[in-house]
Amino acid sequence: MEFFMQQLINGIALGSLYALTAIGYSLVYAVLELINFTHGTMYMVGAYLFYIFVSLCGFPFFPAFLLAIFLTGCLGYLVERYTLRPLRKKNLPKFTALICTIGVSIVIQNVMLLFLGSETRQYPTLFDGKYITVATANISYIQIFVILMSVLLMVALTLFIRNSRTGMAMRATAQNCQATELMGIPVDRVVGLTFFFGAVLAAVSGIFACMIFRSVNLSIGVTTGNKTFAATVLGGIGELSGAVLGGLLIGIVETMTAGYISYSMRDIAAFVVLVFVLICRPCGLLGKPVRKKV
Amino acid sequence: MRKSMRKTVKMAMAFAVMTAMLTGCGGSEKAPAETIAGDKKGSESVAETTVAGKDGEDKYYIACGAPFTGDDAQYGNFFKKAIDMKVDEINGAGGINGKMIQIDYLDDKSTPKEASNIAQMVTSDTKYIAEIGSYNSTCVLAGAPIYQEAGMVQMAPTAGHPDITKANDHLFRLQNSNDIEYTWLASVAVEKIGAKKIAIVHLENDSGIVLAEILNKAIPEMGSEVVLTESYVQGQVSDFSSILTKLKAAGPDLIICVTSYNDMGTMLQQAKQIDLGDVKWVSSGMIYSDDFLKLAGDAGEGVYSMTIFFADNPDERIANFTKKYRERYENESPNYFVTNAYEALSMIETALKNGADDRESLYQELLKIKEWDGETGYATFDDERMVNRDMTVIKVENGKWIVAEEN
Repeated sequence: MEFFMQQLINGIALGSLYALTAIGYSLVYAVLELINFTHGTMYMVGAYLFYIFVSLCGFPFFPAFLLAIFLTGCLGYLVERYTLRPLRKKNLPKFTALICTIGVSIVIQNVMLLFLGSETRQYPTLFDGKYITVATANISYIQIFVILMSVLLMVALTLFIRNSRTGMAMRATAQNCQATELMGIPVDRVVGLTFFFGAVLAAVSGIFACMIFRSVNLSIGVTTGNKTFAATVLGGIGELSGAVLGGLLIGIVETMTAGYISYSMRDIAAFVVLVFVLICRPCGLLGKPVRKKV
Repeated sequence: MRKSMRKTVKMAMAFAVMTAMLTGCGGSEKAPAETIAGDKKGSESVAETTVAGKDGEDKYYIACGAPFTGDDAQYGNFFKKAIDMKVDEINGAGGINGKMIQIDYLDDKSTPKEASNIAQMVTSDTKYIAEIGSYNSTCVLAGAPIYQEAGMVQMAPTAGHPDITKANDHLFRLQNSNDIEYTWLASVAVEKIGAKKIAIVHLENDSGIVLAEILNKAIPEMGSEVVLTESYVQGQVSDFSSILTKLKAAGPDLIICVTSYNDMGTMLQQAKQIDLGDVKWVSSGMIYSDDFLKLAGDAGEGVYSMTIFFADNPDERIANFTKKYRERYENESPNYFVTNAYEALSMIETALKNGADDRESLYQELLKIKEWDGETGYATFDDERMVNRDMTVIKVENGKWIVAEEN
């Protein structure tokens, strides 16, 4: 029981990180119907920027955090502005944009490799090694902090999309891009903002993840990118609550498999669950099948 | 319905793309062999070299296949630093028999596929007389049959799998075989440190599996108990929380964890959050580097490792070697990746000086080396071309590697 509780907490902590990353994926998909493969890269870039500011430049945590997520957001915006917008203007099929995001992420990764090298580095963290013991299970402060922050961010984002004007514009763009444009809403700006927020979310989860895992290297974006993409699809792509559910589910399944069966099986288990859910519910757990009326 | 079908197709394609990306990113630093290999004129002048192959050329070409990008890039770069240093020494002294040495570095990204591509390329280019590499057993084994067929000497500086010299009779290994090293590891844990309950964490790869087999046999024979054997796939995760939870539940007094220094450092850092109690960590020589100390920080205190080469050894020749290396590379300490690559080239140098001039004669000359008193230590070679070297137990104390009292 004690073992189970501990593994469950590990699973929830990991799952909430996936969830946080997955809502970024989902956000961009909801607005543009585009699977944004730069997301994993933004996750890595955000984590590295924070590392650079704190460990190399010696900034205090909070300003470094804000600066890192803001700069990553700007990078997300720039990627949209200079690589995806021209494609959209030419009305090229969505696949062109998708391939383009893959290209961009490879370029960014290699530029990072040139400047930073491939070695793993120790990551700055909050509450170093502190934990509380609840019914014989150890929960570290940083795990609690990350879970709370994730919940907070998810609630804030949902409220933002539901209630703010920009949020409304995003939803309108998601429903019908052309009609929105005709209503006088600057669609380009809305899409740009969506990418900005997507990248910010990726950066936040990247930083949190590295704080928990205590190290950073250039390949973190790839593995997490795949896993969170799976989480997004599992929950129903385009649904923010689905992304959260998918993230938590993948995190818990992975940890439980690692805990009870074999550590080497964890990725297999995560993707088996994905395949199984997709066979039963092709739109994901919370995805709604959209009927196109012709 | 149609829409949902289209969606499914989309997903399927997205997955295909994703897989492509995965492989693409593992090797995203698309630095295939050619770009790393400095000397491009080689391939243009293949015809020339074949004609001039016997004695007309002014250089000995040796290939070094190792990871220079990806997760294991640091190990390939240790090779490169060591070999660059040796090459400068040889060429600075006027070369061997009037000929200079030229090393071409080829990036195998620590993947067997690339390693066998490199083997094909190197063996088909007649200018190369020998190959040094790769860094791990999996990549060495991938290339071994190809070098075997070409009758080309393959020097394996750090691969430890017991079978590698069986895969290629032209292969010389400078690393103690895993069974020697791992049996020794078990005896350190049980007899020298005195652990009763031992947990094993290893990588899910060729040498990791051998390690688990050997330890699970040797430890009970020595009178202690293995309480948990756990493995993981390298590069899949950086979250070790569930492995650590399992370790905690098993309650060992010593953990033998054989993995790369970056995973080890990360794991130790995460272990602080879970509190394993009073437990000792022992690892193989893979973690013995300055980078491990940086990465593990305070969590690395008291961790045991073992090595065939200890940089701060007071022995005069070793001290000289360490000094020479530190001066050249900004005070970085040499480790066994460095020394073994260095000795691999030194052995080739000696063989060439003794009259070897092509692939076959180089092999014959190397076979004659049974005892090797190198700059970094003494070694013997058996009839299977395998080295046998003494090891030293070391541990981290006050953020530094020191010789442990348990020797």
